[in-house]
Amino acid sequence: MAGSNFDIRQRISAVTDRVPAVRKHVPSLGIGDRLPFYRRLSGGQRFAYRLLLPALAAMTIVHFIPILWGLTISTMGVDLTYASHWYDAPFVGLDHFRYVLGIENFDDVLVSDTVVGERYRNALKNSVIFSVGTLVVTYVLGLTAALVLNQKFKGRFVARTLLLLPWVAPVVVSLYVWRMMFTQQGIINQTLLTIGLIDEPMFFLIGDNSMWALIFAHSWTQFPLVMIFLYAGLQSIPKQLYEAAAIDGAGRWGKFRYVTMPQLKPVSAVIVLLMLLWTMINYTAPFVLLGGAPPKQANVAILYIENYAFGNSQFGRGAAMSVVLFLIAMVMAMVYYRYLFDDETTGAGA
Amino acid sequence: MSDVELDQLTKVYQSSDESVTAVDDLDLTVEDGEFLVLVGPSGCGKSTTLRCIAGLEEVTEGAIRFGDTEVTDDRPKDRDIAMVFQNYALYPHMTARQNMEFGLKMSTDLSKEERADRVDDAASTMGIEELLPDKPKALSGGQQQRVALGRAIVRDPAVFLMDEPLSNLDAKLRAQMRTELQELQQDLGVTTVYVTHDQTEAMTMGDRIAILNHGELQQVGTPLECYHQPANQFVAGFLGEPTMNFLEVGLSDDALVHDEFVLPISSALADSMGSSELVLGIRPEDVILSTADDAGDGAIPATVTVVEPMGDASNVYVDVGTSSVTVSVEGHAAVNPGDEVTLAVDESRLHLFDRATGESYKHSDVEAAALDDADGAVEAP
Repeated sequence: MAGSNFDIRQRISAVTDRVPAVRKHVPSLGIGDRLPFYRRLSGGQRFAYRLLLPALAAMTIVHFIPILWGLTISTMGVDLTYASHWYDAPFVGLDHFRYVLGIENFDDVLVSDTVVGERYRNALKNSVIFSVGTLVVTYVLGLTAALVLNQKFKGRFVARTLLLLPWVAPVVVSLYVWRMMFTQQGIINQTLLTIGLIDEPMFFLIGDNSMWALIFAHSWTQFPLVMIFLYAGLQSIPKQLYEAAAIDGAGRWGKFRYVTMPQLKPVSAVIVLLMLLWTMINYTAPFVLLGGAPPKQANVAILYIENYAFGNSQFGRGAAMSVVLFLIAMVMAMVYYRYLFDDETTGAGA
Repeated sequence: MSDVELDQLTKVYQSSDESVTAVDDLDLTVEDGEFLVLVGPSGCGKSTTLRCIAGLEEVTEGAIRFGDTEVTDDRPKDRDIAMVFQNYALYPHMTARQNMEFGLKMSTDLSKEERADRVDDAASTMGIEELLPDKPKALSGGQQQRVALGRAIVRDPAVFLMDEPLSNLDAKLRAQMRTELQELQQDLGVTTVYVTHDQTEAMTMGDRIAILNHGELQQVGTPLECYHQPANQFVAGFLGEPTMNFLEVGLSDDALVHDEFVLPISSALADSMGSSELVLGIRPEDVILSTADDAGDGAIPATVTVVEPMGDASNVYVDVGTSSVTVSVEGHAAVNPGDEVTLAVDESRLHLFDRATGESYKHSDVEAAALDDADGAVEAP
């Protein structure tokens, strides 16, 4: 910008030098004058910023302020007594973080054990299992469905609509149905009993099976999205690659392994990132399925944070837990992004 | 190595409300080691024919044989073929080396080292050793073309199939690759079926060419045979640049009668015609252009409309009545638009076709020697 300003100035002075009377009307544009940010933008850029403004404003209110607020109170002793005037709460530095992570040898006068820390770490672990499990299940279901839809058969448009239903249906409704199906009198137990696979009803929503139930029910509501991504990916693979592979001697598996999967890599990368992050912060599925008192095997971080923070009115500590979860998600995303774009998306190879 | 035999090959595309016959009852034999060019306009069925040979399309009727083996229903991978596609169809996620190696990996038991050796050999044949670590995205069109050819030759297949492999290259590179491909095919001696819509490629590259139109075979022969002795008006019009001139004439008393001229012909020739409704065909290079006023018997009066200097030759477009005729003149044409000229043509160079069927009654009488000489290396006259 500075260069072009200079050119303009030269041109202006070239004119004004010859016509001294005009000179005083030309605004001072001496070298070193810096225009305000907005003035330095071209018309198109200004227009672009004006268009972005509403979205930025909304994001500031919904995202940036709460994030900053969360970061702030994670360092403050906000509890019930300070709930209505949090800004008066004492500054406690990183105490909350030591506490919620259960780091030994911390000198804290408030609580002297690390039960919360242990539970929180367990909840973080559960969140990771939940995310990875959901990713695997949705990817397998989504890819299978996408491969089926990619075949030419009668009624595939109907099939596509039907396969989208779990995602289109209100998620709370879907999850409640799953919750009912998972009960002891639910259809799953009854079916298993009837066909004789089990002798007595299984517990799906408490105990060791609860994580599986959570992953499966959540995956059910999410796999159509993965399916649509992958279906679009499949549609964009050039047919000639399959023909070339057929001539090169690849059979069905060879084509899938060496053409389809590598060609799906870019879209898969996006799916992996989105599903991991979205699941990690998903609140609806664990809450609807497992409620306020989830079994420890399926007590994921987001649920634990909510129950702990609001159950014990320990808002500062809750904020600290959220910040940790936020950091984990951000670091994961960044590492993944770095890896993804260093490797370039067409990667894979034979 | 083997010959390729198409026996009454028919391919019909069936959709719910109509069926389209892409290839109609095609009989064609490609000799062992021969370079055969399938040529014709868009939609003539040449690519479909090639894809049937490759096994990428199901044959509706007829048979395809490689040597003595019938392969009609074999899958592409069981046919021992290699194919070069118009847009190369290189695997974008693989390096050039992996692209070339893939066929060997899929269809042979060769060890990794053996495969690498074969790839290196093929790469040195194509002069692309230094491109091997690159992915297609990093290669130019010409380089991708070489990798695609390398991928085909590394397989050492019985038959090469090429589907307009040069049409995505710029003109200069195309001319260069034309020669190179021909040399390569001669060195390897692999039976090759080459599809193109470009008559120059057909004329210059093929040992023989097969001209297709509307799914039907029009003529098979050496390029010069097809050029000088076209079986019908379609072949005559398709081969040659600029294209042959066609004038509708009637036959009456040993003369060809047109609105603008009367061209006497020998009675022997007149007697051999099967119809009096004819189309007179004259190659642009066979027309003799003259500015002399006093034209002899059978001279055709014409008006120059456009002169196209090409350097070594000029194309002169003239109007004969309402028809346009192209004349090729060596060197610089000493005429200008608007000039009145006369055209003459030697009877031996005339082509005559049946106006209704397009069937050829008479073709140019080129010396037999010229045709004996007719191999793919001879440039189109």
